[in-house]
Amino acid sequence: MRIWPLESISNVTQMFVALAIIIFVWAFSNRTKEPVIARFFALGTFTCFLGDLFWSLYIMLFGEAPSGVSPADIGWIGGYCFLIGLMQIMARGKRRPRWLFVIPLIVAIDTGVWISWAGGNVGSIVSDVVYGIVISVMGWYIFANLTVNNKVMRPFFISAACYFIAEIALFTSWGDMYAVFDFSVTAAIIAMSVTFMKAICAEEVAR
Amino acid sequence: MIYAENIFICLVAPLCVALVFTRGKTRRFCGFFITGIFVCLLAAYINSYLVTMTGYSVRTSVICVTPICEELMKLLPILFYFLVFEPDDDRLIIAAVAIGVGFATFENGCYMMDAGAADFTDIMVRGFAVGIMHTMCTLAVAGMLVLFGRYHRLMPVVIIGVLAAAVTYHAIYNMLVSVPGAPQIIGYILPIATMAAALIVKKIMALTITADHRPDPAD
Repeated sequence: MRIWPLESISNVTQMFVALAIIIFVWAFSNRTKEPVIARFFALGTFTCFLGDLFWSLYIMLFGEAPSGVSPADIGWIGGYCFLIGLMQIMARGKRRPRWLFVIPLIVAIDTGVWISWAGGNVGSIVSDVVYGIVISVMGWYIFANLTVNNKVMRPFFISAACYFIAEIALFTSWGDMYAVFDFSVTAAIIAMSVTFMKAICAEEVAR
Repeated sequence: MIYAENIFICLVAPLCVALVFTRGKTRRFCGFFITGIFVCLLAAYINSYLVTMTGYSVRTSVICVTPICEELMKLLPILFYFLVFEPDDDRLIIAAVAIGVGFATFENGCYMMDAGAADFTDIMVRGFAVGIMHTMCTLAVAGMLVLFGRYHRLMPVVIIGVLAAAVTYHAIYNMLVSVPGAPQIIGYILPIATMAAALIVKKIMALTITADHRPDPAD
């Protein structure tokens, strides 16, 4: 698989940003009202960091990107799972509007596009389907939380929605545009961590 | 060709004898140690099957297939113990350590049979690196279950997330040690560095908790 230079730069940038966020969130977790939830967020970022680290090292050592399902994909999917868990805690007991079915629908259509690009590679198709399922669940929870009127958590949910949109755009792009969207994902991760820490310093979120 | 079953019997037989003559914590540790050895044997069979089935090269299978299979196999007994027996935190951690150490012992045994044990430095470095890496991965899984055990609704995502982290970490180690030179040295240092970092974090957390609970002199 061909690698664009900007793609490697964006990946390495995201890796170092994730590392900084892990240290920041873990160090300040005791000053929040939800230390366990803060560590949960840090662990999600740590899993993403491991995915980025694997991807960067693989490219550096072998001069190509891993094909099919790679441990980096597993790391990133693990990171989404932690975010889903976090959103699940906050969405408990809240009303969920019917229009939310649009989110999985959009992701399903997008997944169809990714599969059409896989060129019959079974590993890539499996990877695309798993990504599709996890991203649609994540998006569903993000927008379910966004519809609820919670002033303290709202900035976090907005940044999470930006993260979701940037991820969708990232998966549907290639070349330099891929790197641009990867930088957008990094920016969204920074925004998420800052807004999340501010919110859990102000109030308890776990129910 | 390694006769893995023969090595398995050779290692497990004295431990089975120990099971008869021990009680309590020691017996539990022995039991989980044997479980670790057994899951390593199963993982070896499954790995061989997957490598044949996927047709991957040795390098790709070591980096991409083996970590998934091995971490999943190590997770299963810990998860079974956690969900069925609902042990307290210490027991779960000890079980995880025993499974990780048992797994690494069997893997090292098979490696020595395959590559020979003449080079002392190589054996010592590999022994420590693999031993710490497998133990750290299982410990991390158990640690997460302890940390987030009270959030029952989170359990499915915690389990998937932790497994993902363990698989990726294992894959990074396998990838680094498979490339001769500086990457291999970094790979061997990685588990030791991780253990040192984990111990530092644990120490800092313990100090923070002690500081938070210290009585105010004004009281």
